[in-house]
Amino acid sequence: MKSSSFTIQINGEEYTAEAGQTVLEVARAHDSYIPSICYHANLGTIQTCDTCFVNVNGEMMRACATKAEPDMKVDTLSEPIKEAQYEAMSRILKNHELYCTVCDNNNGNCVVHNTAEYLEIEHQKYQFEPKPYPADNSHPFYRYEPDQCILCGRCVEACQDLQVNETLSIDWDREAPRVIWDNDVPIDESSCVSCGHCVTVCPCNALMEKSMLGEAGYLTGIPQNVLEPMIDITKEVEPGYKEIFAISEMEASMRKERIKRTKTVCTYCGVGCSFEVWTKDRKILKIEPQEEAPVNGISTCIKGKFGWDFVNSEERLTKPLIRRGDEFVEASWDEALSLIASKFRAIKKEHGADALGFIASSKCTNEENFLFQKFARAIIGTNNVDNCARYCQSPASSALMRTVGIGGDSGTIRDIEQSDLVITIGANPAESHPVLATRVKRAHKLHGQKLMVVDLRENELAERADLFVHTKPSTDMIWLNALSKYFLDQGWEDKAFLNNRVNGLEEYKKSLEKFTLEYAEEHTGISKEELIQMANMIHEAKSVCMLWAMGITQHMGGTDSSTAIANLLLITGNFGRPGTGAYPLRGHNNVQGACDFGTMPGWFPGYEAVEDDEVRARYEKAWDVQLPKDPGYDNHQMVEGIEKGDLKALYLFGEEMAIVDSNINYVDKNLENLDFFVVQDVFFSKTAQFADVILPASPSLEKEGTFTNTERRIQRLYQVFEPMGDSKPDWQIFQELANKMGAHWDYKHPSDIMAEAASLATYFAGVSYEKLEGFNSQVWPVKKNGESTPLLYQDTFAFPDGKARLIPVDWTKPHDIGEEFDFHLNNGRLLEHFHEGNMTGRSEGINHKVHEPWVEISLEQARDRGIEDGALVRLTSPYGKIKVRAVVTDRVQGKELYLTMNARKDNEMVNRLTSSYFDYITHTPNYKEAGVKMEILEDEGPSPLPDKNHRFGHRIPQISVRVEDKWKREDFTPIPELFKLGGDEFGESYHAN
Amino acid sequence: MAKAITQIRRVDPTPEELQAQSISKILGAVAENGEAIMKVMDIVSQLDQMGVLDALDALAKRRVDVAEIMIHQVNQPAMHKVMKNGMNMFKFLGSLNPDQIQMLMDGIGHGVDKATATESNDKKTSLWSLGKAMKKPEVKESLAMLITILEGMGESLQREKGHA
Repeated sequence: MKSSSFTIQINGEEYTAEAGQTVLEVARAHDSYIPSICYHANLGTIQTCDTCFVNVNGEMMRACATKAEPDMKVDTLSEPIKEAQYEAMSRILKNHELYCTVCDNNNGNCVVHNTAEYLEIEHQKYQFEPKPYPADNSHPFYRYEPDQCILCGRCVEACQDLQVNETLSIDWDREAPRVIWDNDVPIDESSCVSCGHCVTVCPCNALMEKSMLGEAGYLTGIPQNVLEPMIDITKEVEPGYKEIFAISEMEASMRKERIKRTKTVCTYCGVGCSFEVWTKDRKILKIEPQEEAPVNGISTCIKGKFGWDFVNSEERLTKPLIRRGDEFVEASWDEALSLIASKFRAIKKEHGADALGFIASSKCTNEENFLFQKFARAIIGTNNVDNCARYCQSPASSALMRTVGIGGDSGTIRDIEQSDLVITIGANPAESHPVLATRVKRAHKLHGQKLMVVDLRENELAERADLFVHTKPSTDMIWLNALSKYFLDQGWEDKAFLNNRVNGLEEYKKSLEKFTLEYAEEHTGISKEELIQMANMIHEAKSVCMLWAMGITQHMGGTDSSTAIANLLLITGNFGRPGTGAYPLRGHNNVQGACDFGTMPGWFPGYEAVEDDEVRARYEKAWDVQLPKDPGYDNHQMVEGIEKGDLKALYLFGEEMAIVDSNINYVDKNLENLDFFVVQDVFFSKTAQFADVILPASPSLEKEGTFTNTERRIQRLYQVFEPMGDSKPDWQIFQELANKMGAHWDYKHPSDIMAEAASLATYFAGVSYEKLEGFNSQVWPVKKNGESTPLLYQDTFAFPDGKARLIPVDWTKPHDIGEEFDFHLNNGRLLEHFHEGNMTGRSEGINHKVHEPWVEISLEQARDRGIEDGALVRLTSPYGKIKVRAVVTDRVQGKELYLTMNARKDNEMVNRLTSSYFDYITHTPNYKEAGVKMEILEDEGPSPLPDKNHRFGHRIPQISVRVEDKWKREDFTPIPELFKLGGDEFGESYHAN
Repeated sequence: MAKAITQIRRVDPTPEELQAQSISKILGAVAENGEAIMKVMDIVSQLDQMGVLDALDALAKRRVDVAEIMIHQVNQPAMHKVMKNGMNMFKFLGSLNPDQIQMLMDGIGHGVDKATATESNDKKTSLWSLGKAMKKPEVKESLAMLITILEGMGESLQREKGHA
């Protein structure tokens, strides 16, 4: 027993309780049931439903709001308590008709149904009263039916305090209260971000996914003119609810037969949400998040909750295609793979193994990435293998590897949640990592966490921050160093930490000499006062997490800026403790895993150098081949290699290089010059247009495997559907191709591949499919016994001497584009669409919210140039030009533009404008150092942003559901006033039961 | 040199090929389940002769109309009563102790046997003989039981009245 724990008695049984737990939480922890409709483990106490009244030491109390205390005696079963709970349930049923068998929410997990059944509700005590409001069907993905709404406020709590979008509230002042969106506008016109939290937590059918309606039950598809009389009859005859429940339960268990529930891991961003997918044949009924999901609990964003239409898109590739003349012709797998094998063999024979290049996918599984690098290294014999981390977080990984030793987040989302101060730099988590952002917003709103945002653009977190700092583009490294210097000058550094755990302080100090506050003010545009304020905030915080993304890394000095972040965290002692650390936020679901499992030109799986003879010998022995010693080409060098004529063939899977690489006009030209190009994808992508052979692959829902999220957490996905048409999971394709080329691979299941990786790479020694069963996860490094390492560096840093290294870095000036290009062009993702939108763009509902890209222009520039929302502008850089419509907003300042990335048309893509310059260490393109000139083609026009978009809504922030307002209503009588305790508590008559 | 192209020539199976594919699938299934299928055929043919298939066909095609009419018919006060009575009947049967009912039923059965046997000897029953029969312990036992049932019923009726 922990020191903080004690025992309480519930119905005569002794239960251990932790300090701070409520009576309800103690009961739930021991599987002792107390009715509790409005309580949800991810939401906490709401106090609206009143079904959890219990007798605590002789007083009638809500179990959800009463903290457990030592030796407390609780009774939940005596007659007055049962009557009180029965009364509460009867009040709820005044707001809710039980027509369970014809209800789409009758799937065995309906909280209202199950509670009414437990309380043995026999008859309607208070007559059901419909509310005077029609159902709201305006939103593309979900509906609200006020008549079924029990006003428990779970949805409001979820929206206000978990997702923290602050759209929903209950208006307790009207005669018939209801849930309202913003100031009571149709859902579709509100600030709702379609995250789905409210629908997921609704304990009945008031909020339902539209994809469920008429689909889930055997009888729920009945037309209204038949359904209504059926409900009438049930009410008229009213045989008592017991009989109704018996039938509805039978029906619910029949539904389990045809509704398949499969656990998966989201395929969008790097947060790593996991949830169940409910399907009926190939139809996706809904995404059903679960409390036990290790990262997100019940949280999702619009893409994870609703963005899965692409899987069943008619545009999926279903057959291999071979280029013949000016067209692609369908072919058999045998034909396509034989062609690839013979071409690869011929090119290798004529030009050597290094004339072939391999680009891996951060969308695909760890096992697939492992096999792909094995194919490149062992079958072809080249280290020319890379993945799209090269376009995003390679600078961060490389910075962390040289300062603290491991190229990943220092801790988990729990650390970010509990940190005193969160600093985000060049990141927009509310749109790019929505569920992670909810944890920051919640901690900031409810738990006093401080938030600092440094960015060019005032994004959502910036609006909420205690301090928002605008910097000049590409100067973050300077203020970071200036703060480190200021800390050292003030004597605020963590001396003990530096003494015991860090090397290189003296040399580092010297490197800081020029980074005075004056120097920083001059170059970054941040005033001295603000810089001091920033330093003070860090100084006052007991724990600091720094989160960053492409705003830091996609620069010519990207690795150095990331290093400056790690240095500042070391100086302030913010590593190795809960609530501290460095968090480069990973962009794709498995970009961490792709790097971890070896699709990098210089690293084997688990970041062991290919040049290391000992490591190579281990792999040579296991694979029984000779392996190449020198690191290969990265993505950037491969494109250069084509230009130079060194690289003749390329094999790329699950990567849209022809859109996402920088300066795509240059990339496209080089792709045209390949002798042989294989593209493997789910769709006929832009990149595929250049291919000689296109192979149809299966997306995450059609295969098994594991993904690793930004926390280094490995999670399993299970197969939901059979592969569509003749498409195949990528790992099967690699295996078949390898065997065509003479290998004898015999992987029966992805678990065989993981077992091989675990046997070879130390970081994954204890990773196994058994330990990853269901919602279980492992966070690497994983010891042989299966033990995870959620928080790194608690005892040592990942170097032979266990000490971190301060690395002196200097500022690299951004690429000078020339005076003519007078606008700075920033770019990034949107909440609604993932990246360029090749998956989310196939969802009608998402396109209803956002369907085209736009450029954000400051109020000031709009005024000067006389333009409005919807104006059509041409942006021209030295590398190309595009044409997009404008949104005028105060999110951006002065001559800084922001272009969204959701472009499907050639003349809207940001990478027509970016250059081929790059971070001098990792070769990550300097996407964020673009300059353009702007011509106005039309002063006004249709807005590119539909008016039914959350950006036009008006949030109503409040804490929770304001249950006090309910209690103040005249028609509310507190339940304890109705029932007298006494004479029937546990210990008196309970034994008679 | 490979320019970006977007033309895809799909080798879609011809309608004939698709048909051939599904026919061969069906034939496979038929071959495997030959005997069962023959039986089903037989049943289907009988049903057709009876006209059941035509009725089902019409019913399926007009299912929403039919359901609406049916549900309308069911949604009448008389039908509500039928359903309520039906359910009360079920509840009543559910509330009885099967052992006691078994005993009672055995008794009644035996009585009926005896009664029919007595009838056959064609003798008139006099009041005197009835009076004399009351003295028999078997008859006393049955009478006592009937009176107890009447008593219980009365109690319940009084309770109902008191509540109303």
